Amino acid sequence: MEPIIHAQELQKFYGKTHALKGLYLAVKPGEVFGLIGPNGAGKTTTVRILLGLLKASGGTAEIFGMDAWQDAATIHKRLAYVPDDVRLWGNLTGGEVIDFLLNLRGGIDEKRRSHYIDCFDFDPAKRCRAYSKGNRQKVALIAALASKAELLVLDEPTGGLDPLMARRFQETIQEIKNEGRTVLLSSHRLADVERLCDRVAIISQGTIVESGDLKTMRHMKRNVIRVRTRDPLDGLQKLNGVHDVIHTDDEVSFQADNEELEAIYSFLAARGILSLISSPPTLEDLFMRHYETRQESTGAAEDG
Amino acid sequence: MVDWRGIRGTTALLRHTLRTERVRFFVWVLSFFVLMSVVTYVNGQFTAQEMKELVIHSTGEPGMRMLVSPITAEGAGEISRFVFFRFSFVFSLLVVLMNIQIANRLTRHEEETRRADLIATSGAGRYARLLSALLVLVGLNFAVALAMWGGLLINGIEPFGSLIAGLSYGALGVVFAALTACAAQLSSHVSGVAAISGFTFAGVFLINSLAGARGTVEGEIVNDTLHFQGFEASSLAYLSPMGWTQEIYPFDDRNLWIFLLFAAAFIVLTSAAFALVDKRDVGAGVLRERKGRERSGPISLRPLGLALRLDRGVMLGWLFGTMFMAFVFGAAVGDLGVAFEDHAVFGEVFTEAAEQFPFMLISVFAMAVPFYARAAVLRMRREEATGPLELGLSTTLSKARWLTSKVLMLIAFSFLCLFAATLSLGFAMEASLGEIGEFLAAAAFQGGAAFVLTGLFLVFLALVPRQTGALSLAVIILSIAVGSWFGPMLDLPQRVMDFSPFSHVAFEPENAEPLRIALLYGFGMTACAIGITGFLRRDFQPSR
Repeated sequence: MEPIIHAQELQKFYGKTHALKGLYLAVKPGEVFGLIGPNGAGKTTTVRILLGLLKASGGTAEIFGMDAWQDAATIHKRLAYVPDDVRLWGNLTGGEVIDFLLNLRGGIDEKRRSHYIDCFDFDPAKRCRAYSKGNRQKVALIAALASKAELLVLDEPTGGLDPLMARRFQETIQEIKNEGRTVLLSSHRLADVERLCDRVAIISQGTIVESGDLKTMRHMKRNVIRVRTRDPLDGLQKLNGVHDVIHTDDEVSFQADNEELEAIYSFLAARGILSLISSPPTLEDLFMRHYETRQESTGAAEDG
Repeated sequence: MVDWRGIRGTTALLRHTLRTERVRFFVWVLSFFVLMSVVTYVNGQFTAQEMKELVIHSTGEPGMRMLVSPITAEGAGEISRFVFFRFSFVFSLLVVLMNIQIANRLTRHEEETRRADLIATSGAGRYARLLSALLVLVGLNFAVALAMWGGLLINGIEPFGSLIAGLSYGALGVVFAALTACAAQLSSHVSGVAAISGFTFAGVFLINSLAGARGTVEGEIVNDTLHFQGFEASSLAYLSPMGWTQEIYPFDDRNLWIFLLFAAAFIVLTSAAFALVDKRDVGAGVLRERKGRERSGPISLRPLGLALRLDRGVMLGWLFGTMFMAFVFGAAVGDLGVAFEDHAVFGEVFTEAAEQFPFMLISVFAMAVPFYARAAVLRMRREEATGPLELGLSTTLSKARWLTSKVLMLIAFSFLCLFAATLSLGFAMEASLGEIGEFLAAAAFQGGAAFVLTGLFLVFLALVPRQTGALSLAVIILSIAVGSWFGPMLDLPQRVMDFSPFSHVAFEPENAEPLRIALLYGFGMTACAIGITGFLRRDFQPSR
């Protein structure tokens, strides 16, 4: 199937800063795609290039098979966007802004509009300058969800929402998915991404360092092992494929490369296993690993 | 009993403000010093006789008296008085604008950006922010007064009088700082505060102008020579702080008691501001924000409609503001008569001046246009930098459509304002249809000069968006300073004056050169085209 979003070899320079270094991204119709990465990794730059707000310095960015910069206005008939820092027209009310955006996105569907206003428990009669961060986010969310857009681009949409509203958000994304619409979700709430997304890409220093189906990604690489043994586990960190060993009072936890599991288990068995829990890594583990390598490499660069 | 805890932290805040705002303050103070010394130096090149003649020429006609300050008979040939006679309204305008802008920045802006919350929760007392802001402003105005004093001193003007002159503008500034601080308690938004202070100043300016127009000019004719015996404003001047400054006569009577008027106004306004602090929450204003409509009207569903709706208040303010000012000036020209009209020699001079005067006013209206254009372009930049443009452009609204609708609206409205003010002037003067036609032609020609600047602002927005504010302000000030009004006053060489588009348009349409006008419009269009294509080609640039 043709991808809805297709970015290849995407480059972006801000002066001398190389923000995107050949990024590749493909989002298929009907899927919820998560884009995660540390601050400054290039998430918002990627999203803004896809929206035609920034011009790529190299590579291609296509949405619905059209060029993101050239055909922005045509593409925008079929997508809705929620920016990570929602700023509105201070002297308009939330209701007016929702109407304005919905109208530009192909017309106001009264039923959907009131459904999502109720769903997020939103007061549309207040002026935008009086709204809190969360309420400004609701304006953009309602205007995106209630539209007929085939593609929703959501950049950190839940940052200001309270836990109840964040739960509502998750439910609505489920509804959107059932309607067959596509979602690109950039978020720091890894739990959200883990629960909602079919596929995930981790972006770091301007490139995608890992991407794919969340299930395969989690099982592909490493397992997290917590173990209690009769004898002390001296020499464990010297084994191939063992990482991040942490000794607590009566337990040792570490990460193990899947291809080395056999050797590691026999090493543990020889020391008398009392209990052992092995679990696939969470998205957070995966994420932290890339984040830490990034820090190490920048640290090394500074030392050198 | 006074609770001193309320002002705890004032000194720390004071130091903080001086640190964060030091460049801004330094630039303002330095500008006043440079302005004062240059203006005094240049005008000092006139002989006493020339100064006297200029004073006589610009006081004979009531409309022209609106823009000059009272002067005594002895003062008419003295550079010290002459400078303030001609430039008092410029100094007042600058001092007041500085105070409104900085006071707003230190009070309401701090709250609207929620920085005040951090301060309020960091152990600073309830009144500490307001108190430190007012102290800083008093200090700044004092520095400005000293800078003006210095500018006069290096030109060898009498020290004591110069000091009083400087202080009289500092005092005017302090009153507007306190007024703005008061407004900042009332409105919960920077724009509201600017509107309250701005409208008050417009009123003050108007009263002072009327006091000038209704003032008395005395002269005695002996042996066909006119002996000027002084121009006094009417007692209306006492209703306007601008008038207070002018009634001090720092080099003559030295009415030092007038400083008590300033002090009283300052105390009243400051007390009101402090009293209002207790009546409101941090971040909010006393005036409550009303609820708005839940649904959008049909007009603001469309981008152009929304753009009109958003700028409605500003546009109506400009339109009616300029029309009103034009009407008042026009009425003064028509009704109040010309002094020395009966005298054979001078009557002719004054009739000529009176005929030229409406055209000079029209050029002033044209010089006001770039201020509107700049504000509009800066609003566009703000919409991009910290505003909702990102969200807007993610819809079917294209960059091209957004930009062209804004630019067309800006240009159309600029000319609308200019023509409306011109018509208003004509009607107030009870001018004939033929005269009004000539006025409109003059406005169309002068509008060309303003159009050039609008084009330049768009180029800045496209190519150096972050510097648009500073660059456009510099361009406006330079074009006005070396233009057809102040260029000759400052005795600038033609080469320098030619840099200003306003120098290329003669006041009266019959003297204007069609080719130059066409070139101005051509230049303006080219600049607009460069600005628009540049903007469409460049990246969206938010300020983060």
